[in-house]
Amino acid sequence: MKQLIFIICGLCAISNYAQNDIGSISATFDLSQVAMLDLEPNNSTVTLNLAANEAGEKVTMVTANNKKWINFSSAVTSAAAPRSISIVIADGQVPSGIYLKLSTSNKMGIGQGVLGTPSGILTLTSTSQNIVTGIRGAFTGDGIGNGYELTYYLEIYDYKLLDFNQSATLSITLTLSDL
Amino acid sequence: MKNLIFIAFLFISNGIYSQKDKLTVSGDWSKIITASDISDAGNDYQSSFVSLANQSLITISPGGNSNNYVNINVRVHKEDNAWHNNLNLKIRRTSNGTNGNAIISGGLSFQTITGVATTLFSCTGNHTLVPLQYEILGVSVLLPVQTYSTTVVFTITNF
Repeated sequence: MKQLIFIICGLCAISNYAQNDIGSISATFDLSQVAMLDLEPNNSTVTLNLAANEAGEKVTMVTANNKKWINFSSAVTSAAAPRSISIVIADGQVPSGIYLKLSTSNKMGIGQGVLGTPSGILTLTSTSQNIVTGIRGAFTGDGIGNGYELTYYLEIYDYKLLDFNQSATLSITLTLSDL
Repeated sequence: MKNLIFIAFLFISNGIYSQKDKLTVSGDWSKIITASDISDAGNDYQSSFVSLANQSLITISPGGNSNNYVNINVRVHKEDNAWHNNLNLKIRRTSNGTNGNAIISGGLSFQTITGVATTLFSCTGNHTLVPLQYEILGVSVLLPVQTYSTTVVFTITNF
């Protein structure tokens, strides 16, 4: 009987020593979809001119600030389709005899994630075209030197259609979308 | 018979003496992270998000008649519901609570909450409404868009 009492006392001592309680809270972080697109250094006008210095010489393109950089941030769900960046001439018409071309560089800079694949060189029209495809969760980095460099230039496809008094102002829209 | 009475006495006295140490905690942390948390296109989210300094309040009430002299360890761990390994949830104590006379120590610097219970702070006696703050690191646009959640569990043990 003494042994039994001893055991009970021991159990009592242990239970006194190790009383504990428990409580909890929840921590929840709701990450939203993100689709942010920006042009660097700004979205100011790109000016492209054709000029002939001497009669009989080939016409040359005179450019001023014909380069822009695309920066973007993108966050998508696991099940979402990849995103793309498209470009379209939203307003205005390219003068006859010339093409407005766009060259998209390979990705550059400090970006991370699935930054997509550039389409290379395109002739811009009033129909939307993808210049980068396959974008998922990614960020390019901010500012010049990050993301994709866009270079606009003109290409003459028919000299006889050129009108050297003609000029045009075009509005070009770039869109980052799920389509 | 005497022995049985003695055993019964032991059970009763033990029950009175060893009232369970009590812990109550309140204050979930729920944060919606959107594009407005990105400073400019091309950037990722900021490196960390911090909760209110008193996001959670924890109260510790040692059991027994001599509760002012009971030493308590407050331990914390997390049990993930939907989580990502890149996320790092931290916690710290921002003050002594409303019962500042009793002894309390540790937990004033952010420490990572893992799946293993570790000591957040230690105290002696009652402590009421000790404020807790959280920090989340590793939030990125690179993570799949979804709701990430975990349960932060507090346990107390006396020693």
